[in-house]
Amino acid sequence: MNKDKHYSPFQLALDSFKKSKRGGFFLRLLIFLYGAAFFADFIAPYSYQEEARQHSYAPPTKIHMIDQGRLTRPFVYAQSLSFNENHERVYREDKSQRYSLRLFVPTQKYFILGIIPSMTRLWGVDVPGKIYLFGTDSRGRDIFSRLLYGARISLSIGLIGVLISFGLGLLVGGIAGYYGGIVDNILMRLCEMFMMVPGFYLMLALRSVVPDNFNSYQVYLSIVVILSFIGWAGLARIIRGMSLTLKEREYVLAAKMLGLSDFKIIIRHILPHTLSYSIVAIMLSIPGYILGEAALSLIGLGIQDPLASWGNMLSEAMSIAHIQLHPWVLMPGFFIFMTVMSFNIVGDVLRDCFDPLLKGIKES
Amino acid sequence: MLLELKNIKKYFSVGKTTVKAVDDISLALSKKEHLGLVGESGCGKTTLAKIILKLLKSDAGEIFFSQENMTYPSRDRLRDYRQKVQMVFQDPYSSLDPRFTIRNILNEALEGKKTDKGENHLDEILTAVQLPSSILYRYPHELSGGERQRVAIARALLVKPQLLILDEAVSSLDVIIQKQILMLLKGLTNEFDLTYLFISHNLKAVKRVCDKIAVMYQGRIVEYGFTNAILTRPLHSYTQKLLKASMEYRSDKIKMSDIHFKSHFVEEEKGHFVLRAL
Ligand SMILES: Nc1ncnc2c1ncn2[C@@H]1O[C@H](COP(=O)(O)OP(=O)(O)OP(=O)(O)O)[C@@H](O)[C@H]1O
Ligand SMILES: [Mg+2]
Repeated sequence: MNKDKHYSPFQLALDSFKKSKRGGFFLRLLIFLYGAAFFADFIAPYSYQEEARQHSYAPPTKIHMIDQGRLTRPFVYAQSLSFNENHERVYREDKSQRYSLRLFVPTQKYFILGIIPSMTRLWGVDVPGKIYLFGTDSRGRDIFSRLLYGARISLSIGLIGVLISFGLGLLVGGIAGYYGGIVDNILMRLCEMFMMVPGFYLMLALRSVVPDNFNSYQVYLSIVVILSFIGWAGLARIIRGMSLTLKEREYVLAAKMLGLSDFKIIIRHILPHTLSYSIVAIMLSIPGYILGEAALSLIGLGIQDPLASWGNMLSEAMSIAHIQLHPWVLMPGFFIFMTVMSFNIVGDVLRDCFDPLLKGIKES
Repeated sequence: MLLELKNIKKYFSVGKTTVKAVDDISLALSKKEHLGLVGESGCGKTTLAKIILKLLKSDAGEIFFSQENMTYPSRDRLRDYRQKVQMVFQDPYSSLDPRFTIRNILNEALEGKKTDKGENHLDEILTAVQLPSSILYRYPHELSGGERQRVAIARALLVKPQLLILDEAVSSLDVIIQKQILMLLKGLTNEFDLTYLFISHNLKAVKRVCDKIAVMYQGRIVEYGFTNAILTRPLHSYTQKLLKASMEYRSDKIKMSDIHFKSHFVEEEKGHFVLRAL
């Protein structure tokens, strides 16, 4: 750290987070996942709806490096499908046809992020070969590609949902705590109304209000709104408790004496002090949104096929038979687990770093 | 009269018991007067100050400022009033927002004012409270208690108040700085037309700056008068005790340090001291 520069306690706490190995590793993992989701259409070898029925439930494609005892550039064999005596699919490598793995392969014209026109994707194999890194689903769609596209929905729902519910929670909690009295009473009863209904049923109830004829984009937005409606109340109550204590701080009284407006005082001197708590809470609550979307999509009320989300991809893994025969359909579950765990660990490490800042504001 | 309090009451209920923090207090301050408010810990001094600042609602009583009834002011009147009355809070560790640099803290005081002097003004005020201007870039947690207290005084002065309430404003400072700050405050009286309400346990500090003293005891004012009169002929038994205590403390000082020395050090024949093993 620079000696001549001065740091606020908050900056010092952030600095100690940057130095933590565990937090840093999982934060990088998250950034990596989000980056992959962002550039999904460039990184994925296929689009999310490109299907090859003849390749339904194909296992992960083996990548070969050695040809007749010699190291060569990586390649894959074509796969041929046959059925065994139990009518189960058996894929065999057809050694007569091999396709090399390449970087920057040409494809049909598409738009990166929907704007930049492009004719190449990051990697793939020579046509007409196919590479399925994580296998395919029932309709012969590449799970790896769909995971990347699905990450866009599953990961962004967490972020956007948390932003909405935290915006709401901070505002309501800040106002309730600062003004107290009747304002506080009304707002807190409102929160309790939301908190009384079990989250999952509230989610279903709200979902049933959404019209059937919504397109996938509208469904996505309504899911975000539904999920944030569930999350904000709990946070509002906590922020309210904190601002009840914070408003008695003498620097808040001093700001009042300087004639600052209530709005400025809440924004400047109250809510920023709940920030260290909020960041931790945000990290720990994003998994809830990801799982919420997964749950909705899993039971068919969320993102609809052919759009991919980790939740609706998992619905393929609903029967034991499928999991036994094609365990790779569980891949989205693994990614959900990894993401949720990373958020939890980062949140945990952040909490340790911010703990000294929360002295006297929070009971626990 | 600049400030008049009439029959102010404030009771707190803590569980089943009621604490009479301020119990029927009437008080008046004329312009440029320096009033000292002394009393033991927990007698309601800070509570009274907060009521004057309208940070706390009183249960009963009325407040007048420049003959204007300020008991139930409108929003605009309240904002106006608060610029005219400032307070330096008791605890220098919580009176500055830890997330702000000293510059931002002081600038906030200028925010409501329409002065174009701005930065020059900060330097001026820092000189007045004897802080280097390099302090502007620091955060409160990097300052000592005394430095923070002076920043708080600077902030209050920047608003150019008519009434300044100092709640134990100098108790956390060392004696030399204490003296300097007290001299400074006295000097500012004429420059700023300041009226002080000086809250303290420390009779000595009060004596140095105040014309009048009000002695508070369990939420009431038990004695009020000119500083000299009170210090020489205290009437109320509590005032007598308080005075006696502060006198004893002074004369005891030498003795106490003696004892302190003897219990910790043994003189050795060679003429230097060593720490005795405990
Ligand atoms: N918000 C509150 N709720 C309940 N009781 C309070 C509250 N604020 C103050 N009191 C009580 O009122 C009494 C007066 O408190 P106050 O802070 O005015 O004392 P003080 O004279 O400033 O003491 P000190 O010299 O220690 O600062 C105390 O007994 C205190 O416990
Ligand atoms: Mg006090």
